[in-house]
Amino acid sequence: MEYGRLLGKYFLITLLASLILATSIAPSVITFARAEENILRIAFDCIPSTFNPLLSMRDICQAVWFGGLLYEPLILNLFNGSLVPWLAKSWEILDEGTRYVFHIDERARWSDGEPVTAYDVEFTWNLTMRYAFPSALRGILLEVKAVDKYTVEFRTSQPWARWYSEFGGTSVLPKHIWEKIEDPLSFEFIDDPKKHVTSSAFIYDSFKPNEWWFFRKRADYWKKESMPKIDGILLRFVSDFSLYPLLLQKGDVDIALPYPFYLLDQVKGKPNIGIWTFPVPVATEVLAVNTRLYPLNLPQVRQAIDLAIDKVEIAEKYFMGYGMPGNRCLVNMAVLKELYVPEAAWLGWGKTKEERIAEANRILDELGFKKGPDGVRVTPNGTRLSYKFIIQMAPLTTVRLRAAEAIVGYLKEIGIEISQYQPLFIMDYFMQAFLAPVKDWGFAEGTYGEYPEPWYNQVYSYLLPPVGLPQVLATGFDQTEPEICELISNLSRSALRRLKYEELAEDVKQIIRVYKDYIPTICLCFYPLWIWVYRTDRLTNWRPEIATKWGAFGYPQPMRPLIAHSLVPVSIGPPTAPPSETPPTAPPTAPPTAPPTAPPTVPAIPVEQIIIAAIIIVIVIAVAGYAAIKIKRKPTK
Amino acid sequence: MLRSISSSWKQFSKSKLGIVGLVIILIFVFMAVAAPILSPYDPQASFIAPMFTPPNSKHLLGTDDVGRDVLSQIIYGSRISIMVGLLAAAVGTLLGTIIGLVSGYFGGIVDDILMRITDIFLIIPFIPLAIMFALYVGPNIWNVVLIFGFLGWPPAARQIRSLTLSLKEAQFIEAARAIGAGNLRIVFRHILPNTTGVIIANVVSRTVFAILAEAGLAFLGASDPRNISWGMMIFYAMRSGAILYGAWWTYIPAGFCVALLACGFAFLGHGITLVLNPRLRGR
Repeated sequence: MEYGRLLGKYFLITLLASLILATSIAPSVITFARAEENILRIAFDCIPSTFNPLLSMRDICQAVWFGGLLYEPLILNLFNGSLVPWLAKSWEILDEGTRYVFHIDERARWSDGEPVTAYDVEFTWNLTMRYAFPSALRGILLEVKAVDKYTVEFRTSQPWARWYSEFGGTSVLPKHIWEKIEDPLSFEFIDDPKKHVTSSAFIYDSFKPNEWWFFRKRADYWKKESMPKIDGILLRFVSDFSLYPLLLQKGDVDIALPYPFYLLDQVKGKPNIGIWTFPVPVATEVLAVNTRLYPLNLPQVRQAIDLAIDKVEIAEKYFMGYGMPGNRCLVNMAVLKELYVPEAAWLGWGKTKEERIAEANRILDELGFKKGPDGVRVTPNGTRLSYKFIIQMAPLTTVRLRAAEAIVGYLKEIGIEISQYQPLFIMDYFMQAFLAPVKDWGFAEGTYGEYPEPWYNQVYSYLLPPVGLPQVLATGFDQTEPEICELISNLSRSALRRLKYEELAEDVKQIIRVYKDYIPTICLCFYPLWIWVYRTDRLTNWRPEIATKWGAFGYPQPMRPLIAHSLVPVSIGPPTAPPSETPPTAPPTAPPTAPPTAPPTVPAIPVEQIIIAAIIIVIVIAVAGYAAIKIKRKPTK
Repeated sequence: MLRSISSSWKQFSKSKLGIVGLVIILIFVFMAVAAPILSPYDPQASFIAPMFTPPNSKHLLGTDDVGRDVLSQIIYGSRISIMVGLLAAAVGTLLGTIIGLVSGYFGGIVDDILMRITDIFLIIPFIPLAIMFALYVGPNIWNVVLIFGFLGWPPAARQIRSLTLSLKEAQFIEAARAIGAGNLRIVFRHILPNTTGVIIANVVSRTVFAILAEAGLAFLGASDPRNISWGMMIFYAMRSGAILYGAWWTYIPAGFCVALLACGFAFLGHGITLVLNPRLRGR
């Protein structure tokens, strides 16, 4: 009896411990009832806090990853520059670009069967203007009005170059649902898929908090000619980029975004893996200079710093050959020939390191900044050139930290000291670099993403009043050089009024001609931020060139039309060859530095399950053995 | 005094673990001091070879993600680990000693307040607090030393307090009081010398902790990334995909050195405890 009770007690403890262990270490596997479903599985790197589109500016994760999936826009703005009718079947630009008229497709339907009408668009924009007005449109967008059931009109105070993105590209919400909500900002359905009413081909179906979100195809989708061939889209949160190569090679996901370029060597040449990069490397690695601090407010000092930084080394070595050296503006003139201003090229081209450093030192010597015994320059009024350096940690943490170390070295050679070196997580960096009322740092290194239009980087950065998180907030340039900043800002506003690209390009070149002499933000290098690495054995017909640009950053997302609608499961039919006129762009050749890796072996047995079973067995044996010994040793009375 | 040192050394030398620990520490100390001579390359020189080059005759421990020689970084990294370990332990033990002495000697409300503060510091998880402070004040090596020191005093405070409580009732203390010795004199001239053994043992044990904690903080990215330290080597190795590249040489040697140095101090502590506590010595 005693023996039985003791053994029973230990058995229960073992069982409990095993269950806890098994559930805690078992991989969080996403399973679906029907294994034959063809689902696009996407690995991504953030967790959305809300699906309310009015709050998308507060939740970048939602804006970037879910914005184009939850609802549809009037038109699609493709990477190849095409505009594709979507909810709007046609449009007109009238009154010299101050009226934008869209004609809604009468076939469009919400998932509850109600028709999509111009009143939905009008209602959406009334909500937007009230609760989430884009700062770029203040003073520009005057009114959005439904002329009739299927015609909606946007009235502006001036022509707007990005009308297709801001008016045509914004999501349309169902009026008949949202008008019943008392407080639109508090409406939430991220934890209640049933509340999702949409016109898009995929409807929110299920989720596991902080792990995955699943959207199922709607059989009653109104745009029959674009009916997706896949059954659904699964977005799976993966916290660590370094897992991306493993997930792809194992086939756990179909695509992993954004794929860091420094891990590309892990997947190049691997079977069933395709790679695509943004056609033009335009993500910009920048070094903002706080011009509020003397003598960083002097253009000559910034020119000396710009000269001392070895942009070629940063691009080729620290950015592993995926970077292109920066110049003296924020536009990649090397690839955007229409924006090329020869005078704005980097002054270090063609010079050796010694020549550049000597030139930079000469500039600072001429200003009367003498080097002290410790090598740090001091101005005539006693100011030491010693500054704090903050660094944005993600994305590209290691790459950026290594490049920042190199920059510290370059600055040291010209007598500028970094007194405090502070890598910061992304939101802390944004706070300190852009939003903090007092900025005590001298240099801030970070990245500017890939805007829908490469020229926008230059235009947006020093626009006044500030829009979003522009560089003018970080550098204080509007306070230290107000006239120059106003000139650049006026040229930016002129550019934004241009409906013809050639005229816009001329305005941007004018901005560059002014900017190059002041460079409050130093352009270190350009690099491809948004890289697709995807599997080709389950889904085919990947056509990144028809990806849709969306929102502030224009990242090409495979879950949006047209990609999601074009993918073909291999099981359905033979793969369709990509169009020959737009072949996928291969990434730049990286220096052959990585050691060869063994090809991945697909495990024939479920390794994780065996490990779990083995651990459970060991625990059972251990506890049973301990129980047996204890029983044996129990003294008899 | 020389006889006392000689006798202590005789006792210590009987402890094999202690000798092993001492040898390990001396090797690392030599490595740290003679780093400029021993190191084959400048540890900061990038791209002297392709990134992630495996160990070979030119680079005995290969290169890292920016083509820096790993062996040179290991050698120079010993400086940070030893320096942070010893300094942080010294700061923490100093603070703990002062607090423990004051608390134990004066007792009453002073003891209550100091011990409750000690309890609070003991309860708060060390690593998250250290990371928070490091990120707030800035990831600088001196800040790390101070943080470890200011967060690492409670164990020493408790031990010194216990010893002080028992010592203050001793007859020689009574005698000192009787002849008119003031509190300060009693604490620093009579009680403190008798706690030397505990202090030394504490310094050694806190050094182990500080070495591991510094490596942990650097690994988590909360230390100064410009410093070459073993923890920072592992940080960069993890973030740059060294595991995926199979570049084990970028993190295993660094991790091994952290473990070995910590073991060295732990073994040394064992040897010192044998010297200080006669009851532990075998017959």
